[in-house]
Amino acid sequence: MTGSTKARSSLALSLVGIVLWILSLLILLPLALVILTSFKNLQEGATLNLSWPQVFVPANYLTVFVDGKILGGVLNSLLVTSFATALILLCSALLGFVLTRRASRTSNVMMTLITLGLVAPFTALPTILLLKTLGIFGTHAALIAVYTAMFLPFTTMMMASFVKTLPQELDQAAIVDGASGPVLFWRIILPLLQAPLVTAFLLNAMWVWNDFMLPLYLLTSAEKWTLPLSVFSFFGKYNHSWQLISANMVIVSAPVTILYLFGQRFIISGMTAGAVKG
Amino acid sequence: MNIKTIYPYWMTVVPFGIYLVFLILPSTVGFSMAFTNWNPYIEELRFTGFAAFEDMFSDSVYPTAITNTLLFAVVTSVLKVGIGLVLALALNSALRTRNLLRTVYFFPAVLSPLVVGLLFSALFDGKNGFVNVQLVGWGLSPVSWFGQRVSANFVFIFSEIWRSTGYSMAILLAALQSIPAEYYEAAEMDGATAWIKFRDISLPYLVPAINLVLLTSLLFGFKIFDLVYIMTGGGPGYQTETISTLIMNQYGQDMYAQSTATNLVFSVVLVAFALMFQSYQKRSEAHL
Repeated sequence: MTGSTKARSSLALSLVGIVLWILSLLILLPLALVILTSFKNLQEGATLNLSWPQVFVPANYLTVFVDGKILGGVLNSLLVTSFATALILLCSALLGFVLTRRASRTSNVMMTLITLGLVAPFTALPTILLLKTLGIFGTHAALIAVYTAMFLPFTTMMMASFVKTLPQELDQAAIVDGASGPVLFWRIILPLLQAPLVTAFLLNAMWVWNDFMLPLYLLTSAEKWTLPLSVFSFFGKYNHSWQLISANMVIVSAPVTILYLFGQRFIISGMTAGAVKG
Repeated sequence: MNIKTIYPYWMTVVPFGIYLVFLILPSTVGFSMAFTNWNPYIEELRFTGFAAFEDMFSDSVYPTAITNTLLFAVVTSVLKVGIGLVLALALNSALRTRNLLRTVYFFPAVLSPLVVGLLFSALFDGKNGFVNVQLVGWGLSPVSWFGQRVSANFVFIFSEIWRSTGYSMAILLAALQSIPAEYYEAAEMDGATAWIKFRDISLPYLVPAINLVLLTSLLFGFKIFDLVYIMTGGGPGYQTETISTLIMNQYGQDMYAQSTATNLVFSVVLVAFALMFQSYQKRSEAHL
């Protein structure tokens, strides 16, 4: 490369950088709007703009917790998210392990059925009918069970493709020592699945925490509501109190933002995994 | 020891049981309720054949919901691939801040659709929303964004592009980075231009990733619920209804059998679409 073309291409590169940073304002400014508004008072919050709060009102967050009864939503969401995520991970690891190692006609049929779950939409009323028949409609347990069934296909695929990369000789060595079934799974396989399990944990925790549709159908009483539902009902009541609604939005987003900032590598690679393998 | 005792199926009974009971059972046996007179007030459940499906041919809410859903799914998917590809190509350069930029662009994809829905409600609110405040500031008249079908659909599409173009970008960027650098070096030796390199090297490599983005965003688009439900609830009237909000609203109006019927047709169409897409995918990737 000659000096002048080098200079030209580095100029082009800086131009690309500048354009990309300007474009990123489309993402950053709305986020800034929410954070700024969440600290404004009633008058300032009424018109949405990017100005710095004249009066700084962190008490909005307290109002949301006290008047908005958001704490119940936070606790319910924590409960549902932790149980659902734990169940999804355990079930998917078991299915991914056994079905991959068996590689028989039965296990293939089971895997195909599981793949269907990636495509089929949520069947709202039949699920409600089922839960009512079982006498568990409206409970957290029912919501956790439906989350497990719905999110299990994605994670099972992930586990299966990872188990395939583990040489079967590993199992042989453990089998010689007398291990089989659960012991083999618990002592040998599960520790090796650590990397995909971390990714699966981050993704499922995020998806369950963020979800709005399932609790809308499956939870009827306000004291059982997860955070997104509590916030949605708050939005219905305090329609134009943007400063309080913004505080709510920050509260819902804070945990996933923290997960994202620390586990970004796992989250992006997990969500984009299918593409590169083809 | 044989394979049956080393990897026993009983270990899958509970996980697979949960899947069968809570997902497969409602989406197969449960759909039989679409052929009944089911609603919360009936005294006796009777089979009524296709009665619950008849509305699909007479009620004008269906064409509206189907058009809105198709418009949303197709426009967002095309734009997500297009804009995502441009961003991925720009970020696949030696830019020093590219990791930081990728972090920023991807971020909206981890936010709850509830938060994105509320954010766009705030931005496009008819009374004191951010956009209208700006319009008034420039001496223009405010727009009732959620008051009409066309402008509301525009906001839905815009919000989805905002939410998940970064996700498409990340998939395409990962695919671009998996292309061996030697290919480009060899092409440069032959004097290939940037466009030739893109057309003959990058693009063929990107086909599987583009297909994946198209499939996932079309499926997501067909199922769109949260953003629409939060911003308009399907209204005014049923002007902004999508198939998923229609299923919810029919449930809300106690039309249980109709809601189940809509859900059944929707599920069949989606599974059929996914199967068709798979065969297209095989053909488009066959020569790779």
